[in-house]
Amino acid sequence: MKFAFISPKGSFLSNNPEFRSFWESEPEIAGHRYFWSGFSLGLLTIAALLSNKFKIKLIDENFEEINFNEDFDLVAISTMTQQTDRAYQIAKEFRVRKTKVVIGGIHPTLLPSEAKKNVDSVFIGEGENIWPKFIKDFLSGDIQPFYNSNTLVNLTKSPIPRFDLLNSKYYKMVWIQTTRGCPIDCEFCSASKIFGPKFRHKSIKQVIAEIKLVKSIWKPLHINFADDNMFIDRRFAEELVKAIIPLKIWFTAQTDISIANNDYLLSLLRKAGCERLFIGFESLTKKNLQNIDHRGWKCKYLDNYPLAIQKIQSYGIGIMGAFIIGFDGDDLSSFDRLSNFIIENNLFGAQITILTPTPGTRLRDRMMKEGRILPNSWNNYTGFDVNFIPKKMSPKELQSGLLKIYKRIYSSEVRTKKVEFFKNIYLRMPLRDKSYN
Amino acid sequence: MKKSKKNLRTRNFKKRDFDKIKEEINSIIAKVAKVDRSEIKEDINIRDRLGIESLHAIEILAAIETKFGITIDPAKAFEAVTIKDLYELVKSYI
Repeated sequence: MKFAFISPKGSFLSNNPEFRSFWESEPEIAGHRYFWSGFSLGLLTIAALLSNKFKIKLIDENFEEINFNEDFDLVAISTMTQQTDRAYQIAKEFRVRKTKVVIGGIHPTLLPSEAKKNVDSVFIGEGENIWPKFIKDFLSGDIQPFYNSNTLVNLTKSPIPRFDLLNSKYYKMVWIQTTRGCPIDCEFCSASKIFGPKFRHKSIKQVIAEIKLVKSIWKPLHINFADDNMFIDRRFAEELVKAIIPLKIWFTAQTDISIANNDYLLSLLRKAGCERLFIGFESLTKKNLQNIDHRGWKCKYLDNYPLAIQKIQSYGIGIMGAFIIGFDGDDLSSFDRLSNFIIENNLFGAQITILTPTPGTRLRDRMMKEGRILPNSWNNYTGFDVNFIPKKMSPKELQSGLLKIYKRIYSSEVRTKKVEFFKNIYLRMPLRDKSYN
Repeated sequence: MKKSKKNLRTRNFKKRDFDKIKEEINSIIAKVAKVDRSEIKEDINIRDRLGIESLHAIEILAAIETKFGITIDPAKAFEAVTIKDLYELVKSYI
């Protein structure tokens, strides 16, 4: 049997022409595009649950066209919100040709009824527990409209994703997932709705096996750990990072600013090849942080941001700061305040996105009640386009303010400043060879 | 171009041949980029073949400056596409 596993074409940039033009002409931030354009790990993972009698063709529409006349017994699509309009078009084309289509991923999990109108079956939640049941039903010709993963997946039982199926030429970076779940329930976050608050992780043995596999395929290799917050379980994190050291890789990981309190972990990260930490600062305004997370976890670190940043950078690790603009506490002065912070603190890069009322989030529920959601299609949910009416500015001002920040923080003067800053750090450090040569 | 005239290591390298300089640069690249020295060839693209980007490049730059006692204009360093370009750049400062 032959299955197509499809990642629909997505917009990893804004749909705004001026914004797109700036991004495409700036080599330093063009890297954002390939940073976020990895193939769906969900599809690669369920592919690993199939025996050899199933032939799988992976199609990443960002790199190759779909031949709708190719014969497939089944089409499986994974989609995020901004890819969803295209995902439904793809499903329609195949269903016209009498091919069964199943869909999963964050968007269908959050809006299963909408998804069902466009496909034969919808996967709700994590795929590992429901895929075997679906395959059994599919082979007996009795598939159900919905497959709901009611129990959390035991990650130590999750198979190694089929990285070998990917065309390595398409991807400069490879995503590996070691953990799922985040106890911090931010108002805007949809990932926590699929993975839940309970922090789970794979075994160190599993992660090392995955790294060894991708290392045998990609050259050069840069790994992005896909976990929303990789180092929540400090003991596990330290053991994992220690185990990575001998593998001689480079990687980026996502975490929170509290890692600055752990010198031991930072020193291990340096040795293990952590080039950058992607840290969610979200906002520089106390009121915004309080609204995001009522327990005040993020808020309590706000005053210490500069010192914490310096500590991390002193280990030769660059910080990619993740910020969101457009919160109710943001006004026209927020753009300059944010640019100044990024420049003054020598953040190596920054990803500033526009607050996005993604389906299934508390943010969307609130904005719906307040009548502030703009009637845009899902393909406008890029994170770089405005889909709601901001409190203290117009949607147009928010859109142009975002571009203003990017133009400022990625100017040649700022680039030179960053290079000098990091060069001085490296000049004071021993060359990173000694622990493994 | 700035040259650190006081640095003894620079003067030592002036007496050595270009091959020695290349060897030192290769050694630095291998250590920072975590690649085998045999993979470092003159004509290869630094970014595409060795994956050296952004922070790696700055670290290599810092190590080269320390090794040879020179200060390289970062803008010129980032113009280097191949390993050979980097050799020539360093040579021009020594």
